[in-house]
Amino acid sequence: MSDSMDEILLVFFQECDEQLQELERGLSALEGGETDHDTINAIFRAVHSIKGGAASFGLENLVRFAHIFETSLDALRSGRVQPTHDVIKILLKAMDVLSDLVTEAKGGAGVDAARVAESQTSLETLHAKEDAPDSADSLIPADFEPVAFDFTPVPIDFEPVPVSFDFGDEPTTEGGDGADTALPIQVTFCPHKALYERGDDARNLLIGLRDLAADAQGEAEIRCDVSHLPVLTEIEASEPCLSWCVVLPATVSEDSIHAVFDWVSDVCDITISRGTGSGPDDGGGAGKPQPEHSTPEDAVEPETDVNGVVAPEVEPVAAVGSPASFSAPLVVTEVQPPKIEPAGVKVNLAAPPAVSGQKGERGAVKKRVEQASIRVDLQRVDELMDLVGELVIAQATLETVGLQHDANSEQEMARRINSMRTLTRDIQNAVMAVRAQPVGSVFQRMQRVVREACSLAHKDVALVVEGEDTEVDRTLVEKLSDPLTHMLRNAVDHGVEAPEARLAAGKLEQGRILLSASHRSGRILITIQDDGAGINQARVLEIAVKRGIVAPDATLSEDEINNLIFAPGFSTASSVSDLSGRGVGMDVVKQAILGLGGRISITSVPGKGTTFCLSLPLTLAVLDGMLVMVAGTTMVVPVSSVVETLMVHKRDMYTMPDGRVVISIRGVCMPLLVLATELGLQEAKGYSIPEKAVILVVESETGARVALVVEDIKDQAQVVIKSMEKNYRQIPGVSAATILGDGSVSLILDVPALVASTTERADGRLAEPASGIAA
Amino acid sequence: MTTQQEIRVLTVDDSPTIQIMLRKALEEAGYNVIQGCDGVEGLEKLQEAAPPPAVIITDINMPRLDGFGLIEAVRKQEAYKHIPILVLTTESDPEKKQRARQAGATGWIVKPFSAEALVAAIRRVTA
Repeated sequence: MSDSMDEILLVFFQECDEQLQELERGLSALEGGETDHDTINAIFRAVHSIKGGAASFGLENLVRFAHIFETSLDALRSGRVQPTHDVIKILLKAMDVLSDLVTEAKGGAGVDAARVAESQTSLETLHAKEDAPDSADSLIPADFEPVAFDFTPVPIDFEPVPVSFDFGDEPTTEGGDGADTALPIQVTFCPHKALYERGDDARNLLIGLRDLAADAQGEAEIRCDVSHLPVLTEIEASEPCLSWCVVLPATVSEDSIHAVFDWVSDVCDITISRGTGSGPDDGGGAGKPQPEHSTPEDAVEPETDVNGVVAPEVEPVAAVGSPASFSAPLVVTEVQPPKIEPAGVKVNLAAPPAVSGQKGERGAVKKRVEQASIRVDLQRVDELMDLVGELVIAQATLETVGLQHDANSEQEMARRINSMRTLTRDIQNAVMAVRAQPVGSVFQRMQRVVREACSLAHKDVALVVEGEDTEVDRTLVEKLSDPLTHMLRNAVDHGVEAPEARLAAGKLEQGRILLSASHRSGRILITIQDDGAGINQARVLEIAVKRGIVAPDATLSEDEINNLIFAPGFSTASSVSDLSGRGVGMDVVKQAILGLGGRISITSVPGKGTTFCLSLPLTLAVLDGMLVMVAGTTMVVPVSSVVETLMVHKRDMYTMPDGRVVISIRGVCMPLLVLATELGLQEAKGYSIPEKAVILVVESETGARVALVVEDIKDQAQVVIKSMEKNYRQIPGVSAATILGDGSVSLILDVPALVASTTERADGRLAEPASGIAA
Repeated sequence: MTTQQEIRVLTVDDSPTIQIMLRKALEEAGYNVIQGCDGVEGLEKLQEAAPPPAVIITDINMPRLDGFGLIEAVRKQEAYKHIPILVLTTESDPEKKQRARQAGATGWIVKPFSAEALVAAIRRVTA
C-alpha cells in the first residue's frame, strides 16, 4: 500500500468522524422538531459523503450499509417518509451501526453482523413501499479495478433519424446484427447548439473517435461537411453549422463509439453504420460509401453518394467545428490533432485490495489511523507564529543587553527577562490553544451511551448537553470519554428511577441528565446532573459497613457518605446489571479523574437527584506550583489545591489524646500534617513544630482540608510535569516530578493522597503514615 | 505527453477525502489544482483564478450551493460559460445525470473513480 493511500485513508476516517458528528447533530435537531429541508439535507449529505469516500476505498460493508441508510434518508428528504419518533429511532440506531462500521473499517472491533442486518431491515421498511431498493452491490464491482477508461457505458438513447433517400433504397438504421462486421464503421455526427453551450467541443469528440481508431491499430478518416456553412457575413458565432462523417476501422466496437458520445447523446445527432467507407486517401470523389446508414437530414445526406450517381461534395476540409468563440484550430485537414499520449498516471487511488487486503496491511492501516492529528484554526497557528517571532527579537535584544557593561545594563537585563517571561507564558497559552479542542466531540458520543443504556435498562432518559464548545487539551478530551461513559451509564442505571417510580414520585416519565462543561478559574468543570432519586445515604452506609469499607461506629458527614460510592469494591446495584456490573466501579472512575490531575465531587439531594462535579486542569503538561522548602529540599504543591497560606503560632495548635495535632484557624479545626515527617524526610521522634510555623491549607476534591507544615515558601512558578511512573516508579504522596530553574529535580506533592491518608488515619483505618520518600 | 503545467482544474467538493484524492491524482498527472469546498467557494475560486481553469469538476451534494446551482451560475457568466464542467457523482440514477445535463454539465465522472478515469475525463474535454 502506498503512503499516499494511507494518508488519504486517514483523511477519510477523519472526515467520517466529522460526518458522524454532523449526522448526530442533524438527527438530534430532527428529534428536537427541526424538520426543515436544511437539517434533513445535512443528514443526508453526511451519510452520502461517507458512502462516497468508502466506495473509493472499496470498504464494501460500509458502502452497502451507507447506501441503504441513504436510500431511507432520501425517502425522508423527499417527504415520502415522515420523521416520526419511531423513524428517528431507527435512524439513530442506523447511525450507531454506521459509526461502528467506520470503526471496523479503521481496523477496530468488528461489528455484529446481526445488528447490521437488523438495522438494515428496519431501514428498508422505511423505503419498502417504494420501488425495490437498488442493489448496493452494483456500486462497487466485486473485482473493481481501475481501468484506463471506465466511464459507465450507459447506452445512448439513439434517436434514429428517419432518412429519406431519394434513391429509393430502404435505409437501415445503425449497423445491425446483419451488418458485415468486416466493413468499416461510418459515424455521422452533427452537434447541436446545446453541445457547445455545455462547454463541450465537437473537436473533443472527433479526437475521441480518432483515438478509438488508433487503439484499433487503424486510422480514422474524418471529413467535415461544410455545406451548411453560411457566407462569412451571415455566420452566427453561436450557431453550429458543421457536421462530420467519420470512417473508423471495422474492428472498432460500436459500444466504444457510444461511450465517446455518452455525455452528448442528447445534444447531437449521431448515426453509426457499417459500410465500405472510402479509404483515407481517396479524397472525396473516389470514395463510394455505401451506407446502410441514416443521416440527419441537415447533415451529409445530400453529398452522400450511394449509387455513384451523385458525386459527394464531402471534402476533407478545415474543421471549423466550433463556433467562432472557440479556440479550436481552424485549419486541420483530415482532422488529425497531435497524438496525445496517455499521461503517466500511476496513482492508483481506487485500488480496493490495498484496503481490504491481507491482515498485515490492515494492521498497518490501523497503526496509521491511531497516529493522532488535529485540525487547528489557522488563526491560532498565526498567533503562535507571531509570538515566536517576538521571541526571536526578545532573544536578540537580550543578547545585546548582555554584552553591555554599563550602569543601566543590569536593570535593562531584568526588564528584558521580564518581558521574555511574559512572552513565554503567551507562547505556552498559544500552544495550549492549538492543542485545545471543544469537549463537544466527547459529549456527542455520550448521546449514544445514554441511548444504549436506556434501552438496556428500559428507561427513558434525555441527555441534555451544555457548554460543548468549552475547550480543553486534546489528551484530556480523549481521556474523558471512558470516565464519562461510565458515569452516564451509572446515572441511567442507578440515578434515574424506573418510569413507574418516576410517575409515582410526581416526576415526568422521561428522566433528564444534564451534562455540562464550563471553564472556572483555569480549570474545566464538568457536571453530570440527573433528576433521579438521589443517593440513598442510609443504604450506602449500610453497604459500606457490610463490605468493611467503614467502621460500624464511624460518624460520617453526608459528603463523606456520598463519597463512599467511590470506594473500591462498592456497588449499590442489588444485582449485577447489564450496565454497571461490568466489574468497573466508581472507584475506577475516580482513579481515572485523579490520574488526569482532576477532582471529583458529588452532591445529592434525596428525591431530586445527584450531581457529579469533575474539575480538571486545562492541560496535563504544565501546572502552577507553589515551591516550598521541606527538610531542606524544594517541593512543589499544586497551587490549585492550596486554599491559603499563613503563619500560625504554636499556641493555636492542639494535641489530641491520640497524639495527632489539630490546628484552629478562625475557629475551624483541621488536622496538621508535618510534611517533613510525613514524607519520612525527618525522624518523627526528634521533631518539634517551631513556635511559628508556615502553613499551607490544602483541600482535596472531597472538600476535606489539611494544614501542611513546611519550612518556608520560596516561590510560585509554572512547572513542567514529568511523570514519576514513566521515569522511576509510583510513590505514594508524590504525583510527579519537575525540573526547577536551577536544574534540580523537585517532587510535586499529591495533595489528595496526603489529605486522604490523614483523614483515613483519623478514622483509625490507616495506621501507618504514607511511606517515606527517603526510603 | 503534453505539458499540462498550465492546465488548471477547479475541483469543488465538500468531502476532504474526495478533495485530497482529486488533488493527488490531478497533480500527479501534472495539472494545476484549485479547490473549493462548496458551490459558493467554488464560484469564488473561479473568480479569483487567473487564468481561469480549463475544467471544473464538481460534486452535486454540497452545503450552501449544490452542484446544479454551481453549474447554472457558471453557465450564466459570459467569461466562464464555455468552461467544461464535469460532475462527480455516486448516483447512478439517470435522473441526476439528466438534471446535471440540463443545468449545463459537460459530462460526469462516476465515483469511485480511478485516477486514469479522472484524467481521461479531463482529456476528453480539454483536448
